Amino acid sequence: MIQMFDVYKVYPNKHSALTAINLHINKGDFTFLTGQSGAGKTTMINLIFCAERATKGQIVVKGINLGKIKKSRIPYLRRDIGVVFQDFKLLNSRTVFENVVFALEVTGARRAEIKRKAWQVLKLVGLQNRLDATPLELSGGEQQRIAIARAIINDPTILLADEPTGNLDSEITHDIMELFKNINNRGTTVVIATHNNTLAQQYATRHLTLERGRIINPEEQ
Amino acid sequence: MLLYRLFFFVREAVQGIKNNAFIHAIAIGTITFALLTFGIFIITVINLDRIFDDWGKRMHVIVYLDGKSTEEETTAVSEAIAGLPQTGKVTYISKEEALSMLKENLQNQAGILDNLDENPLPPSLEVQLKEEHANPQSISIFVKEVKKLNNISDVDYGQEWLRKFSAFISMIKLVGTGVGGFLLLATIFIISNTIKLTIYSRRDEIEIMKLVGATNLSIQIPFFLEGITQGFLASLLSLGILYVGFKLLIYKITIDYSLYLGYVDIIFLPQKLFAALILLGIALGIFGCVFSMGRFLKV
Repeated sequence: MIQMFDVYKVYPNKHSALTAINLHINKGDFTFLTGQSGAGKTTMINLIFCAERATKGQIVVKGINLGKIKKSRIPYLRRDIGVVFQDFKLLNSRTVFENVVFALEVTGARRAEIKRKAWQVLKLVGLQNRLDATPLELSGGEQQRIAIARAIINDPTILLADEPTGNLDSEITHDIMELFKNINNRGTTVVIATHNNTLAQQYATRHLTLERGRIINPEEQ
Repeated sequence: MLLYRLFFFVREAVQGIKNNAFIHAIAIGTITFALLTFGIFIITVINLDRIFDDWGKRMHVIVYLDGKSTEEETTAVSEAIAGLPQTGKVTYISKEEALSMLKENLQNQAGILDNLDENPLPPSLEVQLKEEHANPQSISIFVKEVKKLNNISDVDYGQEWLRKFSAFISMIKLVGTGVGGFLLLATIFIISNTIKLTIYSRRDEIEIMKLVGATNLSIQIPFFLEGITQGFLASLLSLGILYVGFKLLIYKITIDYSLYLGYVDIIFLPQKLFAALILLGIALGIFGCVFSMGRFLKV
């Protein structure tokens, strides 16, 4: 599903974020990327959904070589990759329902289909009763649920999460993790980047540890 | 499918305007002000041009005849002048007519003419030039031809005034082109920066759109629609203010300065320019969007 071959990422200021990364994430894996702040977790997530390009090496996602993908094809790849962030990235002027359906609307889906899917995902994340609330009226955990609902409404084959519980307390963190697990059980490949090692040990089926841009447990690659 | 997309774009644009009403109001205000300045300039230029044109048309040449010439000789001169290509209309003014016109002009002081033993004014021919020849070059050619004729004592065509007037018109045209060009550039600059600010304030929204797989075009279209709306509303607003201001001012100007204006009506923007200003507003709205969005679409 996601393959990296000898990937390097060096920023213009010469900072080397990733060095010689090789990995193979299979369909249906529930993978954790752990490491301290600055270890390269976010860069790795960004490379997978083309928010950044690798300096060297090959990345293949769903059989598509990201080094050769045309700019105009990137939006179509992203429709099959859901992304969740620590800061939720919600539109605060829109309601829960509008935030969630936004991802389907930009693809030109029909209204009836949009409503049906929105209902399904909002029920899955437990927000079916808060459709008309705006994000700022909700708790952090609820906001993250909106972000997750938005990320999965397109039925993506891959779900990426960058520190999804970084702003949440431990009880809600476990709720969110259960939600990810649930999504994974439905066949979606899930990759979660977190600095929380304990969380990874508790939930991961695969656990990659990054340190200064390198994977330090190669047996997991 | 296409209809759904269209509906989505329009809804996004409406929502964009609603959610960012304050920023939109500022943008519309700025564009209105810029277009208003440009509109005032255009109206001024158009009307100055009409006034100068009218002054030009009213230029005439007075050919003073020799007081001793016979009726036949006067007719011959009149016919010779009428035969020149620049001549539009020739009017004969006799000695008596000249005197009564002078009395009329002097009004209360006309009494000073009562003590004259004889009428000192010469008969004259007032020559109105054809419109296309009402310019300094044609007039000097015409005067040269007239001076060749017999039985003429003098030719008066306001030489000094004409020279100054010509220089003034050339200067006004030069300054006008410079100021107009500068104003247009300033207008474009202000509008594009205002729109850039409105888009900058919504960079998070654009980033999220990119993340969920929106194509650049589907991100841009609602912004285009918003830009069009902004430009359209601003141009209507500026035209409205311009019109009301024009109506309020025009009455005063016409009364106080009618002497300088002659018989020229001060006009508002002609229909073509009216439409052009609206199109300019819309075009500026769209281009402002296109040029401002580029760097926010690189996520």
